[in-house]
This record gives sequence, structure tokens and C-alpha cells, in this order.
Amino acid sequence: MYRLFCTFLVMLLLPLACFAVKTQEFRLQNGLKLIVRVDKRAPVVLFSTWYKVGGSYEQNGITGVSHLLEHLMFKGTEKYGPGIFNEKIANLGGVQNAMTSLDYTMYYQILSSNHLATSLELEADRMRNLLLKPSQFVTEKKVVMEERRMRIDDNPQGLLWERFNAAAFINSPYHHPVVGWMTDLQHMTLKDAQDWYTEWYAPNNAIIVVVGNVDPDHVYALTQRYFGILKPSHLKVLKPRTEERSVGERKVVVNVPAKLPMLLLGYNAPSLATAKTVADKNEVYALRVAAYILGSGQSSLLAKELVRQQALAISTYASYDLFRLHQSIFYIGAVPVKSVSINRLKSAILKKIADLKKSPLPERDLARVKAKLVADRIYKRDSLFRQAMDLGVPEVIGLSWRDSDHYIASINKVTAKEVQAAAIKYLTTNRLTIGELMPQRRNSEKKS
Amino acid sequence: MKFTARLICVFSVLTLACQSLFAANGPAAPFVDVQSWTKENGAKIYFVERRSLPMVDIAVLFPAGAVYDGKHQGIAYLTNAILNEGAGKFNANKLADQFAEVGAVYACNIDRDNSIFTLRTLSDEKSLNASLSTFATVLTMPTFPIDAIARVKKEMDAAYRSELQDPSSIATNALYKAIYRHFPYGHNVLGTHDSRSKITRDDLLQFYKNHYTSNHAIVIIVGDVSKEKAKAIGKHITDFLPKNAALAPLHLPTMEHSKKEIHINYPSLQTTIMMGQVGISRKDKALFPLLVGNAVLGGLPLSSQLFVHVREKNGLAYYASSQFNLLKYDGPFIVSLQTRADNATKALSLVNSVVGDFLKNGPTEKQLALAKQNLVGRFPLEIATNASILSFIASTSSSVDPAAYLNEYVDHISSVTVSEVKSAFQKKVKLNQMVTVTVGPES
Repeated sequence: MYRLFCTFLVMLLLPLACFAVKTQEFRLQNGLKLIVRVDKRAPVVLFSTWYKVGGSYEQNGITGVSHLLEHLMFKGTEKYGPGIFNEKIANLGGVQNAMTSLDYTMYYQILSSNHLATSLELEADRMRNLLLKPSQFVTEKKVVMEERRMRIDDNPQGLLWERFNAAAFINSPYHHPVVGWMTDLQHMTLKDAQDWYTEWYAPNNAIIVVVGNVDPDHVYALTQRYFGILKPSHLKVLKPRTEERSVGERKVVVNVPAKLPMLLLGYNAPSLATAKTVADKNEVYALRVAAYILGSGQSSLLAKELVRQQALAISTYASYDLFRLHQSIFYIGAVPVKSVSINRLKSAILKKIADLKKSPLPERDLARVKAKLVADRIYKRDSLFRQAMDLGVPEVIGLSWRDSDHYIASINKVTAKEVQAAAIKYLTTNRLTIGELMPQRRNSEKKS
Repeated sequence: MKFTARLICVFSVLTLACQSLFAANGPAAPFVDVQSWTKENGAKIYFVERRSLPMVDIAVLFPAGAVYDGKHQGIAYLTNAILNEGAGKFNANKLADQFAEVGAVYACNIDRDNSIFTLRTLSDEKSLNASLSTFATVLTMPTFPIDAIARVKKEMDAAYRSELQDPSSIATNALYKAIYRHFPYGHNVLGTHDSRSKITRDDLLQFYKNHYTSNHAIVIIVGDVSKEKAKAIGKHITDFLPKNAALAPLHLPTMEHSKKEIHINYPSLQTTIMMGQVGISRKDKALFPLLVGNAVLGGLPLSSQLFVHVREKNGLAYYASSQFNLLKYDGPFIVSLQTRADNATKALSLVNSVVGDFLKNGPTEKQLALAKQNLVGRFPLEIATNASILSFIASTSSSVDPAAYLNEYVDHISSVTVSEVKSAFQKKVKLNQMVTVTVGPES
């Protein structure tokens, strides 16, 4: 059965050669990197600008500044006043958004491809010419605080994730939330944002990723035209933020008004950026396979056994993000069935982890992971956004856009014994943090 | 997707998409070649051939949404969720494995009108045949296992409790209940614990036989197959569905006569505000003036009147928007926002005045032109991918002919005038008949 399966997988890969995608890389003299992927299925293009700055670049006292700056980037430049950016894109029928993550801040527009130049002009303009006015700063700070309240303070699960990460990461800058601690937001000044902008928003700290119905040489010419005149900055060299080794299990409890308990487990583990040798990287891929098998979809081990067979969990989740600048974490989450205690659920999960270490998984479990990735590689191409993420994320953490493809090839090579070995090495009690959301009975008054 | 899959929010403390969700003055309106046919068994098939990627997306819709719950509130949801818990000779684990082995993705979704099942699969013969076979088995040979029914009921209990810790859900549920007091859009799609506990396996079988019939099925196929293959897919999926049950007709809901305010105490830092009333369906004669007008008022993600006044100028909220939810039997018009609790009165007053001004004066010519430009300019984006085409057809096909709607959309939007918008809004939206729900600390 497995051999038939392997042949089948090989057969799947062959046609992919005919659908090979064209991706090109360029670099401007000022250090700006441009990556262009051609996708001619529709007359549209996604233009994205990535800055290598995010939550993980911040320190206590100034957390949330990258995200606040992202909001402020829409407040106008010398040339285009507040709201003009949004209006211009809206008037062209464009769709746009921006996101701040741990390791990057990214801005993108999706437009008809004949309007590409507008994106370039606007992004080049605000890369260097942002105008930060006190009244706008005050207003946008308020908006960000509302966002924090919506996502975290009034959201029990959001609070759990926040406090969990704070416990799981000892000294790593992944410890604090990207939106920032409320006290830091309250005390953020315009100067903080201005300094951050001047420090990090520079062509040599940025990458442009374009996916769509374009000609790469034409995009290069446009980029040269709009961004070429921008001068590079002398970039601060960040001190390493190497996470201390874990020496024991950690636990965090969140007691807030809520209706559903929730359990989170996390094991500190390397990322592709922190795994230096080929052997280290192979371990990372093997651990990633473990996360897929445990938590990915309805055929995952946790869904099959904890949700359906043992009826202990309402839902289960596992993830492990390899594409991080600093050391990462292997997450497992679950919501218990009403009559089941958190402890019982935790024991069941830990038992599944112990099973992973005890004996190698059957080949068919790995085969499913591989089939998923092979298929997903095609499905991704139905989305400009997903392609842009695949190209941009590795780049901003110091790897290459090609690593998204290497990822699939590497996962395909992982063996059951390697998964077992990675589980033994990394899914250990010393590396473990446990988070519990314990619903508190509501009082009629909210305490601040 | 099953609500349970959403219960663990993959929480983006890590990544914040900051501007709100979304959400060319170019060549002639793009055209999508939507082929369609009606099978002998009554099923309607819509097919868009797209060969550029070796994948296929299939959606199957049944008029089996919560509006048909009757006295068994929650039965529509439960039926939708139970199909892949056991079908043919396979249990849930085996069905899941069969999809996974070929990298296929199965999903089930329910709303107030429709029960929707989707399949995403590679188009090579082996993958397509395997995933299609499993998909058809799930839809046509469900076994409704007793233990799975009990388990899914518990999942619905948990989903219900999850809503109780989310101010937005609390507000939405209260709003629907108040707007649709005498119409079956009003109840929670999950039902209540009591109503769920009374649903028997026989009830589920009966609901399935009445609603999952070939003569009411809509099948949408987008991707890398020939028309011949698409016909075969339509046949494979619908031939063994139950047949020919008549659906009880529903009378349209009516508006409440007077304004209503409902406050629900909740210990949050923000107050969630939702204002609403009975709206329209996609069949409404004034559909396009209302859609374009709404874009100006509160639909355009970053440049609507509500966004500009509530967020940009006053920093009162992270989002503020308005929307017509185009359900088949006149879904609601809803204005919504969340603001710091001590700003709630101020925000509500501001929203009322923005809406009031809009009703009185309509949009300006410039505002209308820009909204039309946006909607028309965006259209190519909305039909750029297989997924977006599938979604467009799925959201329209139960009310209107999707091919005509899709290909006439740009013309309809472009021809809307200021006076049409003003008159349509004045006729339809009544501030003095709206329900306002606030969820937050006691004011």
C-alpha cells in the first residue's frame, strides 16, 4: 500500500513541472530587494512592501511601536495628506491591508495590473516621507488601544495566548505581544514612533514582493524609477536575543470571565533561522511533520483520538512555525468536553506525545502529510496573497524565498524514525509550558 | 466549517492585520463563462472551466439552513455537521483519511439559508476520482451514527458557550432575535440546549430526506475539468440524493413598528453596538442603489462615512461599518462597531447622526462616483481566482441566476444614480424602526 502510495506521489509531482512558476529576483543599488513572480491567470497584481521590523525588534517599555507605526503609515506624507492613500487605492478598486507580525511589517495592495505604478509611487513616498502629526498620533493611539481591547482584553482566548507566550518565552522578544502591553501604548510618544520610523524604514531594510500579471523587467524598471532615489540607512545591528535554555516546566493560569476552558501546551524548539547545520534543520523539518500529524485537519491524531474516539476534546490544534527569526515553539491546543477536567485532557495529550517518542509512526501517517503538502503547493497558486507570503516570509528572517519550496522537498524526505527522534529531543518536560484558561464566574460589576 | 474547528482561535497576537478586512478604470467589464444546466433529477449545475491550475473546487448547496429548523432549533446545523461523521461503510476517521490521502480538503458550512459542502481537490484522474467518490458518499449515504450525534450536540453546546464569551456574538444573536421576532431567522443557528437534546436520529433522517434532495440541489464546479467531466461530477453527486420533496413556502418577515433599545450587561472594556432592521434579498428591485449607497455609508472598508467619522476623525473604534446581509428572505441591514465603554453614548450618537444625514441628503455625486469606481474596479479581483469565482456563484445562486448576475454586475453598479440611492434608502432604512443592541458594562 505504501509503495503504491509513493508511486502515486511521484506521479503527482511530474505534472507540476509543466506548471513551473517563474520567479525573479532583483536588487537596487540602495539595497532594496525585489522579487517578482509571474501569474497571468487574471489581469491583477499584488504589490507588497515588507520591512524587517516587528514585535521582536522591540523591548519592554516600547512594545507595540512597530504596530502603531503601521497604523500611522496611513496618516499621510508631505505629498499625499491623511486618508489620501486609502482613497487612491479605493478609487482604483484596489483591496489593501497591512500587517505587523513578530518579525516583519508588511503592506500590500491588490489591484488591476494596469494600476501597478500607483502602488509603487505611494509606497516609495511613504517609505521615507511620512508626516507624523500630534493630533493624528493621539487619535491613532486610541484606535490601537481599542484594537487591543477587542483582540485581547475582552477576548479570553486572546488573553490566554498572550500570557502563555509571556511564560513560554523566558527572555526572547517573542515574550511580549505585537500589539504591545497596554501601559506601553499609553505612554508611547510621537517621538518614539518617529525614531522607530527613521531607524527601520529604509530601502536597505525592505523587500518588495510582486505577484501577478506583470513582466518582471517592467516591474524592475518601475521599482528603479520610484525607489531608486531613496538613500539607504545605516541600520542598527540588533544584539542577538538568544533564548535561554529551558530548564523546567512552566505553567500559567488565566482566570477571567469566560464560558469555555482551554488548554495550551508549548515546547520551545528551534526555527529554520536558528537551526544552523543541515542536521539541525532536518530535525526541525521532522518536528514539523510531528505537528502536522498531531494537529492538521480531521485526519490528525488528536482529532481522531481525543475528539472522536475518546470524546475528551471539543476541538484540537497543533502548530509549529519554522519561519521565525528567533527560536520558535511547538504549540498544541485543546478545548475540553464539558464534563472533562483540564488535567484529564492534558494527560491524554501528554500520552499521545509519549506515544510519538515510543515508536515510529506508521508510514501512511507520513504519506498523508506529504500528500497534503503536494496538493497545497497547487492550491496556494490560486491565491496571490499566499504566494506573496511564501516569497516574503523567508526573506525577512534572513533566508531565501526559495526556502518555501525547499520546505516541501525537505518534508518529503522526513522518515518515521526521524520524527520519533525529534519528538524525543524536543517534546520534553523541561521545554514545556502549560497554559490553562479557567473560566471565572462573572460578578455583576467588572473589576478593572 | 464546523464551529468546533473555530473554537481554538489561532490567535494573531503575533500578526495583526490592521486596517479593516475587505474588502480599473480599465477595459470593458470582464466576462466569466458560466455554463449551466438542469439535470433530469432537478439539480442545477453551474460550471466554470479554468485550466490554468490542476485543481478543482466543488460546492454543493441545499436549502437546508436554520430558517428551516421548525420546532427543532439546531437541526439544520446538526444535519450539516453529521454527514461526514459516517457514510457508506466508512466511519469519520476513514472518511477523513480518504480525503487526506489525496490532499483533498472537505468543508461543511451552514447559515440561515443554506447548507453548503465544499471540496477542493487536485484534478489528476486518481485524486479527483478518489476525492469525488468520498464526497459523493458523504452527501448521499450518510449513516448518522448515534455516538456521533451525541458528540456533535456537545460540540454545539461548547460553540454556544463560546458565543457567550464573545460580545460580538452576543450582540448579533440578540439583534437577530429582536429584528425577526416572528420569522425563523431570529433564533440562534445552534438552537438551545433544550431544543438540541430533543432532536432524535429519526428527526435528522427526516430533515435530510426533506431538504437534501436532488431537485433543490445546486452544484458549482470551478477548475480543471472538461464539460463532459463536469456533467459526470454533477451526476455522481446528485443521482443518489433523496428525491422530490416539496419545501414549505415561507412568508417574508415584516419590520417592527417602533424603535427598540436592548442593553446586555457584559464585563468588557469595550461596548459592542449593533443597530439593525429587516433588509433585502438579492432579488430586490432596489438592490444596486442600496449596495452602492451602503458602500458610501459604511461598506467601503477604509473610506466609508462611518469609518471616516467614527475611526479616522474621532478614534472611537477600530472598525465601524454597515452592511446588507442579502439572505433569501430579506436578511438584515446592520450597522456595527465596538468602542471603549465610556465612549458608547458618544459613539452611538455619532453613528445615528451619520446615518441620519445620509438618509436625509443621500450621497454626494463625488461620493457616489468614487463608490462606483471602487466596486467596478474591484470586480476583476473578485473573479480572479477559482476560489473567488466559486464563492461569488455560491453566494448568489440560491436567489438569482448567477451567470446573469455576474456578467451584468458592472453595468448595474455603473448605472446607479444619486436620486436612486436617496430614494431607495429613504424607502427602506428607517431609523425610527431600528433595533439597537449594546453589549457592555452597565451605562
